This record gives sequence, C-alpha cells and structure tokens, in this order.
Amino acid sequence: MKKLLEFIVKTILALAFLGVAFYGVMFILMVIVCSGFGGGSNSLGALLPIIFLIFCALAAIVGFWRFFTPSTNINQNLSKGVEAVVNYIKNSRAEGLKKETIIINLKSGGWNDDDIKEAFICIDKTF
Amino acid sequence: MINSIFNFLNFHPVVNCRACTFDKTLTVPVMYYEIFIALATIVLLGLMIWKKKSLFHFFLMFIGVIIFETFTGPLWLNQHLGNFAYLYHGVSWVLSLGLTTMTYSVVWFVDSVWPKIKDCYRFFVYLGFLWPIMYFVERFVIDLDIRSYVPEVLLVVKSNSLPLINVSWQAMMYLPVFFALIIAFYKYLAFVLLDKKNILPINKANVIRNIIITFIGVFLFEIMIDPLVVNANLPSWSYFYRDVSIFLTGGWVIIIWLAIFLIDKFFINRSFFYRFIGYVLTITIITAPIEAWLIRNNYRIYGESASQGFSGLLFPLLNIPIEVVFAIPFYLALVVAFVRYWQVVLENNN
Repeated sequence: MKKLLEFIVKTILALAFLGVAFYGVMFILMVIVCSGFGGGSNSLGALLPIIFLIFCALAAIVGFWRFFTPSTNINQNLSKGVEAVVNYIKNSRAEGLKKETIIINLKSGGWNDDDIKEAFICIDKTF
Repeated sequence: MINSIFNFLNFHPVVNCRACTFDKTLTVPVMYYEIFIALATIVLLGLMIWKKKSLFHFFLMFIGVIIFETFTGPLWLNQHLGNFAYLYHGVSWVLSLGLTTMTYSVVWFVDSVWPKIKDCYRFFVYLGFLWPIMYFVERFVIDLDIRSYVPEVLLVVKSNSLPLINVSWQAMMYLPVFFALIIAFYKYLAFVLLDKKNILPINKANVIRNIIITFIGVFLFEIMIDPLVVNANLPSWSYFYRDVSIFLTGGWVIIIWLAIFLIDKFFINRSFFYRFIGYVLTITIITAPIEAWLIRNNYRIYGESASQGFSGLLFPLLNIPIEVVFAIPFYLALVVAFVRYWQVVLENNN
C-alpha cells in the first residue's frame, strides 16, 4: 500500500514537472497574442512573463533532476529519511548544539532511537 | 498559421478590456510619489548594504508582492502611474516596489530591535506595525487618485462597514491578510533558500495542527478574493461565511495538506526549496482540473471585473480562461508558503 502511494505521488509529481514545461509554452503564446498583457503598449510589458518563463524552465529542469535522481552526498545505505537527520545533526553541531539537545529536538520531530543512532554512526564514519 | 493556432486554442482576443484601458497618464503629484518610492528604496538598500544577501532578501519579498498583486489585480485599478510603471494590466512594479520597501523596512527594524523574540510572536509584531502604516498609505494612494476599487469590491465594502469608524471590516482584514501571506512567503523562502536555516526534519507530523494551519491559510485567502469570484449553487448549509463553502474550502485544505504531507513523507531527503516547488506543482496539477470542472458547472463564477481582464485564450484540455490556470500556482505559492512557514516555526519553536 505504501509503495503504491509512493508510486502515485511520484507519478503526479513527474506529471507536474512536465506540466511546467507546457505552462512555459502557453505563457509565451499568452504574451504574444494577448493585447492586454503588459498593459498593452507598456515598455516593460514583457518583463513579468519572461521572468516567469525563466522560472518555469529552471523549476522544471532542476526540480525534475533533484527529485528523481539519487540525492545523497553521503555514501552509505541509510534508512528512509535518515539522511535528513544526518544533515540536521551536522548543521546543529556546526551551530554548537549539544548532542543531548539535538537528540531531544529530533525526538520531538518523531524520530526514534534507532534512526538517531544510525544518523550519529553515519556522521562519525563520514565526517 | 497563427489563425489556425488561435482556432485550435479557441482564442478570441479581447482588445479593449476594461482592465487594460484605464488612464495611465502620469500626473505631477504621482511623479513625486514615485520619486519618493525610488529614494526610499535606495536609502533602505544603502543602509542594508552590510547585511549578507540583503539584495536577494529584498528581491524575494518583491517577488511575493508581485505575485500577490498580480492575481488580486482585478480587485482594483492603479491609475496615473505612467506607462513605464505597469507590468500586467493594472499591476505596477512601482507600487509593488513601494510596498516591498515599506514591508522590508519594518521586518528589518523588528528583527534588529527584537532579535530574540520567537518567530511565532515576531510575526504578529510585524503585523502590528504594518497594519496602521499601510492603512494610511492606502488612504494616501486613494487621495492621490492612484487607487480605485472595482464595483464588486465597493459592494462588499459598503455592505459590511464597521460602526464608528465607517470602514468595512473586509478592508481592515485585507491589510493583515496581505502582510501575513507576503511575510510568510518571504520568511519561508528566506529560511530555506538564503539563510539555509537548520530546520528540524519531521518524521511524525502533528496532523491536526497542520490541517488547522492549512485551513487558516486557505480561509484568509478566500476572504481576500471574496469579490473576485463567487462560489454558487452549493447546498445552502455548506456556506459558513458569505460565499465561502465548507465543500470548496474543505476540498482545497485537504488537497494542500495531503500534498505537503505526502511529499514530505516520500521526499524528506530533498531540500526544503525543491520540496516547496514540488508542493506547488503537485497541487496545481490536481486543483486545475477541479477548478475547471467547478467553473464549467457554475459552482465558481468569476466576477465581471475579473472576466473583463481575460484575454479570451482558453487553456487547452481544461477549456477555461488561461488567466485562471496561471493564477493557481500564484495563489498556491503564497498559501503553501504560509502553511509551511507556520509548520516550520511551530515545529522549531524550542
């Protein structure tokens, strides 16, 4: 059931990224044909659509890349979600937080002892 | 060739829409006002030059203001600003720059003077400062004959005036709603994009709290766009405030909350910013066909002022005005940022 749900979410997301590209094309059309866009003859009329178009293109390319390729810079097989815990611990240590405080914070976020332990072991091995 | 594309898209351009034929001629008092905005912006940016990434922060808030102004554009007209000042119909980058400068000044002031206040309380301090300031600024731009409201807005405003001060409570509500969405948008994206705050990853989210936050975000927004679109033909018992129906608002709340919840669950290792893009895109692709169905079946009826701004271009497949489809991610960018900001702030409260 969980696998099916994950598949559905990923499919919708993939469709959404493809949709962004479609949006971009539609937006160009809208700019070209809509006399109202940019308030008619305004000199800056094309600025907003161009910014939006650049955003669309970047969002589609970078977003698709980031979501559907392996993300980690940590070269270990971690349990689901533990990479986020590793990053949090790393940053918390850099901010000078004590280990006990970090553990309390993570537990308040719903992480169990095994996840936290796994994350600390990963950090000690990697960094 | 072009004609066949137009036919395929069922495109019938509206040449003289009311939204794009107002008086844009620059007047002398407005010119002084624009010079004042430019000087204020230069002074603010000059004062903050030492602050890390200050220009990026300012630009981020400017984007939030522009997004807000763009899809609430049909609610009012901004006249006499000069041709150069407009981006899209009545949306003006000059007024948006002024709003950004004012909002950013207050945020910067509060952050500098009270750095130790927790984020969840500080948010209300921003609103406390901005609410009265913006009230006077709004009156000022009305007096300068820049801003005027479309009939749908005037109707709502006149029918709900508060006693004693004779100002509609919607008009008073607009200001904090506007700032709540803009500041949350700016703060959340600044957290994850510029400041790279160390945000606690959440494994087991507080479902009830998150649904309540989502409801507040959506409801505030529904109040905001009340004059823009009418939710009609739904069971009378489902309306709990004017034309705000539990069916529609509840539906948006569930979709937004569920999309955020599921993306966080399955993509928790991804950065907060990419997840934000994921929320907005996913919810857009789900809500756009629903919105199209609601429009086609007369459950959502766009007001005359909004309709007059439509170009006539229909979005393929959905067959609804393209402006409606483009408004959805704008709307979601602000509402989702509001929801995520409050989730993050409350989850990291300690």
